[in-house]
Amino acid sequence: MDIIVMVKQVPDTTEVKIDPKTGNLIREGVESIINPDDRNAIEAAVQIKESLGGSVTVVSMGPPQAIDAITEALALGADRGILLSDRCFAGADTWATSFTLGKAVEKINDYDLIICGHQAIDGDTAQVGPQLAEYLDLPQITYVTGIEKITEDLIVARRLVEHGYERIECPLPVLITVMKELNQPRFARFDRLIDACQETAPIEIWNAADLGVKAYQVGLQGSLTNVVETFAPKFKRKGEILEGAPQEVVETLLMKLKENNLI
Amino acid sequence: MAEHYKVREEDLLFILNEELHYGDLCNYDRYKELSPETLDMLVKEAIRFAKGVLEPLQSEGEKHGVRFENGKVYLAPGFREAFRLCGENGWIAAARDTTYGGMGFPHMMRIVINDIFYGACLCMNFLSSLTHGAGHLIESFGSEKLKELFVPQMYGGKWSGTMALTEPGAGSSLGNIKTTARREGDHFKIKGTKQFITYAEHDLAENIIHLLLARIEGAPEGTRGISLFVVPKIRVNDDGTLGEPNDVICAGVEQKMGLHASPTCLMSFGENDECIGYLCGEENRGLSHMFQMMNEARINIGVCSTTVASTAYLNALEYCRTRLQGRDLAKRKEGEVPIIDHPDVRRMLLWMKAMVDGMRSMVYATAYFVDIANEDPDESKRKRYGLLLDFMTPIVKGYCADMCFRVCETAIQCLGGYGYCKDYPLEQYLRDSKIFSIFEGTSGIQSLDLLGRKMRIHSGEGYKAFIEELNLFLRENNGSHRFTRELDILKGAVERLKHVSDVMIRRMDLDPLQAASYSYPLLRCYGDIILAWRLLDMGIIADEALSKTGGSNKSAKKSFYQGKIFQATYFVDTILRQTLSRLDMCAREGREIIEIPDECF
Repeated sequence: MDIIVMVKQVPDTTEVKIDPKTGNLIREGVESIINPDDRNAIEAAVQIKESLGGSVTVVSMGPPQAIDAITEALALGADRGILLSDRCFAGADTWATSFTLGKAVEKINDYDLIICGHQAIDGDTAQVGPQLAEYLDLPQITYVTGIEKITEDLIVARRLVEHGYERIECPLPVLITVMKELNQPRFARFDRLIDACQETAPIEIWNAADLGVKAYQVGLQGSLTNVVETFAPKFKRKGEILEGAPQEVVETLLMKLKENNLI
Repeated sequence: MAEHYKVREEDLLFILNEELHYGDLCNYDRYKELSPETLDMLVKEAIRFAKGVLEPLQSEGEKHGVRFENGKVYLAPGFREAFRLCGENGWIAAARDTTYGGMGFPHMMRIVINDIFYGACLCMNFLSSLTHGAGHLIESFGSEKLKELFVPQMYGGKWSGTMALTEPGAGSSLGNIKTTARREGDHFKIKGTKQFITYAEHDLAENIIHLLLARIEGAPEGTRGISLFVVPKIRVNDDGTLGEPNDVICAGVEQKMGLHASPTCLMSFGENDECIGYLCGEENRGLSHMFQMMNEARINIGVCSTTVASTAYLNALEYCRTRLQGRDLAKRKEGEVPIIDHPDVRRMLLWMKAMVDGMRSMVYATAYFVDIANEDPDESKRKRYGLLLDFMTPIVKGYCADMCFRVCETAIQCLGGYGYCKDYPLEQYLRDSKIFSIFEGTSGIQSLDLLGRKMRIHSGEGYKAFIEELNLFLRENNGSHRFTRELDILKGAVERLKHVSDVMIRRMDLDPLQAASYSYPLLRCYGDIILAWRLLDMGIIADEALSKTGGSNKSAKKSFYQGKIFQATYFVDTILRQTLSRLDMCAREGREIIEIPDECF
C-alpha cells in the first residue's frame, strides 16, 4: 500500500494572543507547526503501512523552512518527503495549491491512497483535498472519522455528515480527508528523529521546472481567486428598553422577535 | 484549570544556541551521529510531548492524589499510560548510551528535557527521573548480569526505580543507616525500614527496582560501612521473567503539603526474612556510588526549581498583561490600565524574569560542563570543567531551590487574591516547590558542602577554577562598552567574594561554628554572583545581536533581545548591591548565633 499524505505548515494559532487594548491578534513570534488535522493524516497513513506494509510519502508546498514539517513527518513514521518550493508558488489560492499538489502526485505516479487533513487552521477552507481529488479525477471521501476496513483494493470509511455518519465503501485509489476524531497522533520516536535530521534523510525539493509547470499556472498568477481585503466584522449593537405592564412588554417582545425572524 | 504550563521556547533556545552553542557537542566523538538540528528538534518535540501527555496530569494528579490500600498505592488515571509513553518513546534514557536502551543524546539534553517535563507535571517526571538515575547507577557500577537484567527494562519504562536511602533515624546523617545485608550465596538478605522513599510503591510499572543503601554484617560503622544494593519489588528470574514477590512492603504513604500525586512511602524490607538484594559495585563503597545519583539529583533540583519558577513567572505575566485595574499613576493612559503598567508590579515581574533566565542559564551551563568534563579530548579541559561542575553543584541545588520558592511567592503577589486561590496554578507551585530546599540535601547541607568541602578539597582547586572562570569572563568582555559599569560592579563583587571566601575557609579550620553560622548566606552570595555572570553574558550577546542587525530586527525579536539587556542591568545594579552587603555580613565577627544560650530562644 503506497500512501501519499499532504501536509501543510501553519502558524500555531493556539499560541496566538489577543492584544487586550486593540483586540487584534498578535502573530509575531508564533511558532510554525504541522497543521493538526495533517498529523492525524500522517498517523492514519503510518498505521495502515504498519498493518499492510508499503510506504508513506509526505508532500508539502511552502517556503524552504517548511522542510521542518517534512522532517517531523519522517520522525513520525513517513518514509519519504517532498517539499514543493519555488518563488512562483507563493500566494496560491486553494485551486492553484491543488493544481501544484496534483502535478506532484502525477510525478510520484505510484500510489493507492492519498490522505489529507480535513482543513488547515490558518485558512479554514477545507477545499484543497476535494479540489485535488477533482484534479486527479479520483473518488473522494471527506470528513473521515473512522477507517473500518482497508485492503489492497478497497476502503470502508466512516464520514461525518450533518446529523450522523455515513459508511462509504470505495475502491482504491481514493483520496480521503480526515478529521481529528480519526486517531490519536503519536509522538516522534528518538531513533526516527535522529535519522530524519541527518543530511542523508530521504527529503527531496521540487521546483516548478521539476513539476513541468509554468509560473502563470501556479501561485498568485495561477489563482482563480484573490483576497481583496481582510477585516474583522464590526457589530453595532442597539439597545431598546421595553416599558409597561409585564403582559404588554411580553407581547411587544414576542412581536419584535417575530418581526426579526428570530422565532 | 486552564493549561497551567507555560514555556517560551525561544528563551530555552537562546541559552542553548546563542549562549552555550550546544550544537558544538555534536563535534564530540560520542555524539557525532547527531546534528545541531536534531538537538533543536528534540527540544521542540519535548515541548509537544510535555503539553500533549504530561501537562493534563498536573491538575488530575493534584485532584486525585495517591490512594493507599492494603499495601498498594494507586495513582490518578493517565499516569500509567504517560510513564509507558515516556519509556517507549525514549525520553527516560535520552542521554544514556544505546547499549542498554539509551538514546545516545548528550547529557545536557536530559537536563533540557527535564526542564520541560518537570514544568508540565512535576510529579510524573519524578518517576522518569528516578528511574533514569537508578538505571544509570546499575549501568555504572553493577555486574554485567545486573545490567542486562535490569537496565533495559528500566530505561524502557517497563520497570521503575527508586533511591532508598533515608531511614527513620538516618536522614541527613546517612552514616546512621541501620538496614542490614546478610550474605547468602550470590546475593544478600536485606532487612530494614526506609522512610520518605519517592515512588517506592505505585501501580505504574510491572516492577519497582530499589537502589538501596544497607550495611553488610560486620562492616565498619559510619559512612565507610555502607554498600549499595539492587532490591526488586518482585524477584527477577535469570531469563528476565518476573518471579515471586520479594518481601518488600509499603507500610504507608506520607500526607504532604504538596506533590500530592507523588507517593512518598514508608517501606519495610525483609520483614519475613525473604528480601533478596544484589550488591551493586564495591562493598562498603555504596555511599560513594550513590553520590553519582545524588549529584545528578541535585542538578535536577536546580532544573525543577528553574522550570517551576519559569512557569510561575509566565503565568503571572499573562495575568498582569490582561488584568485591568487602577489608573495610571502618571496619567499616560485613560481609564483602567492593565496592572503590568503599575511600577510595583513591573518591579516584581522584572525581578522574576531575571531570576528565571539567570537560573536557567546557570543550570544549563552546569549541565553543559558535564559533557565537556566527560567528552572533551583535551585532558586539562576535562579536568577544569569537572572541577567547575563539582564546585557549582551545591550552589545550583541550594540557590535555585530557595529562589524558586521566592519567585512563586512573588508570582502569587502579582495576582493578588486570585493568586491565593486554586483557580490559578500558583498556590500549587508554591506548595510543591517547598520540598526543593529540603530533599536531596537541605539548603543548609548544600552550604556546608560548599564551604566545608568543595571550597577546600584538592587544595581548593575547584574554588580556584570557579574564580578563574569568572575572571576569564570579565577579561574577555573588558571592551564591552554597553555594560562597562555593570562589569565593573561584577568585578568588585568577585573580588569581595574571593576575599570573604578566603576568610571563611580559614575560619572553617580555626572557628568552624562561626564559619558554619554564615555558610548559607555565603551560598546565596555565590548564587547571586553566578546569576549576574550569566545575565551579563546573555545581555552582551543580545546587545551584539541587536547591533549586528542595525535595528532591522522584527519588533518581537528586538523586544526579546532588549529584555535580556534590561534584566541584566537591573539585576546587577540592584541585587548585587544587596549581595555585597550580605558578603560583609558573612565575614562579621559578631557571635550571637553561637553564643545565645538555648534557653534564651
